[in-house]
Amino acid sequence: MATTRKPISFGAAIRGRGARAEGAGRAVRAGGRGVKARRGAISILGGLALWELAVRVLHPNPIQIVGPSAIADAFVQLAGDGTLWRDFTVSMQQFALGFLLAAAIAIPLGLVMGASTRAYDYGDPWLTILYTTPNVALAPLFIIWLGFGNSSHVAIIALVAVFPILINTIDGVRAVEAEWSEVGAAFRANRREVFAKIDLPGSLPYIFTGLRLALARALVGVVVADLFGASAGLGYLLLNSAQAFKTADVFVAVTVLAALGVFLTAALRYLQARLTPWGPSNGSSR
Amino acid sequence: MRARTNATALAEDRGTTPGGVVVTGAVKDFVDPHGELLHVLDDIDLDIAPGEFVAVVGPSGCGKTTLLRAIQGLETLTTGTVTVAGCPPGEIATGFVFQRASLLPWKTVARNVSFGLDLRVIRSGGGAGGDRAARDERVAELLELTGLAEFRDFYPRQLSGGMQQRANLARALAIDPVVLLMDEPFSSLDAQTREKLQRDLQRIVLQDGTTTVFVTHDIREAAFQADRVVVMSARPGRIARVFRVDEPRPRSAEFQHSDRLAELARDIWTELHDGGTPRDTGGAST
Repeated sequence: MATTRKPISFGAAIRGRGARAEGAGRAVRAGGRGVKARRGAISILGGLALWELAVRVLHPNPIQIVGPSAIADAFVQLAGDGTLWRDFTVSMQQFALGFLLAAAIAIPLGLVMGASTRAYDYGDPWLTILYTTPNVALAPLFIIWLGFGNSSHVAIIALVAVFPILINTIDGVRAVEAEWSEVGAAFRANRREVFAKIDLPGSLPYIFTGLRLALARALVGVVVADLFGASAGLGYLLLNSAQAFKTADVFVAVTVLAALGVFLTAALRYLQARLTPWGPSNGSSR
Repeated sequence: MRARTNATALAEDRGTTPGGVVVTGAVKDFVDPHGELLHVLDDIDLDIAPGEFVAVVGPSGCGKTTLLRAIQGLETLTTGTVTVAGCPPGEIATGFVFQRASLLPWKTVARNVSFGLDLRVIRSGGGAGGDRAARDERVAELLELTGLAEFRDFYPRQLSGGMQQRANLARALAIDPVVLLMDEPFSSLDAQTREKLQRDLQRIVLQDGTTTVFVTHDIREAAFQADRVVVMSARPGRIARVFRVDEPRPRSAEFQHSDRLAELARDIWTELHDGGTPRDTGGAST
């Protein structure tokens, strides 16, 4: 009960923090938020209970499907012998490096492409081509270039994560320019001042949206990179367990990935609420 | 045409140096997205005395906003000249209040108000302590003047429309403009808030003898506030007629609801809609 509730109430607490910064007018909805969290918990727990019940009543082939209790047992076992921790840390390392690399490339590039029409005109065709190409199709190339080690994994993760950040940053700067650069002009701000005082702070919420979208894609990248060859990692665990028909272990890997996604999204949202207290997207649920 | 208003005398008493606005032979042509040439302004001559309050009314698309933007230097004229206190636009501090809510959403009210001053502090090399102290003092003074002192740490979206426009006004006034240019600043507000802000504006601009050009489509608003009401004709924008309002400023709430104002507004309305006044009433003259 306590472990299942945790991510839900954590997310609600973050949204609650954003709401407090918005002023007393929104306090009315605080009650609704508690109700929402409770309903969410009931929904998840109810779903798990139904699943477990169905498995116990119907006795399906355990190679095809197992119940939550069997998955929990597998989790304890994998965690106990250290396999899960090794796969987890390897994947997290690759994820962190790939995601940070993507952000380090996409945010500065997006700011430049958003602020300069010339940079946009030169860059946009490339962006369109690369973005519409299924990025995963490029993964084998990275393995040819970088080998089977960590660096090709990091590169694949960065590749899939870079576009949402880049596109949202560009859109953000352009939207902010359209809306507020006149204010800068009215106060005789030069190009550099408009960039520093208007474009940069104004596009922060857009950048965060990009980071959140990129996060989900980067987790997909973690798994996909493992599918092309790995000796450890959550994707490796997934693939290996599937090939050995250890269905419960497959579910463990999926559950850990899902939990990671929920936790990291909540962490990013927390960071966003702190860094953009005015934020229009603070209250949004995605 | 050049009038020595009571505002001028008042400003001189205070030792401030007000500046007038002179527009000579202003023509502005645009090429619209379909490649067609639009004559927006056609040979506008306007001589606004230091400290004078001039309102500009006219049908939508008559170029009144373009004229205002040309005075601010946000728009260059096709031919003709604009001078502010004898200088080209942009050299003398002029304050611009936009029609729509143009406060920067990521800054608190106080930081928004100090936006223009912040740019000055940066330009003076990061700011000696004295600059900053002077800036903070000026911001506090304006928040007090516009009745926003207790909302200084609020974000714009936490304010009502009326308060947002007060903050907009405070931001424009913070740089001690010689001329204040206002583009339908109260058009999105409810009637009661609008009338209150009109009276407040009277008091505020008289205090420093600020020359004011106020664009609006609300005839009563124009006649209530202005020394002269300039009526423009539909495209191409020409000055159809100028009405003088002989009522000492600041104008009172009684004047706001007087028969005289209603009568004057009716005359202006007739000029706007029929292109001529059949009746000649006291208080209005060309």
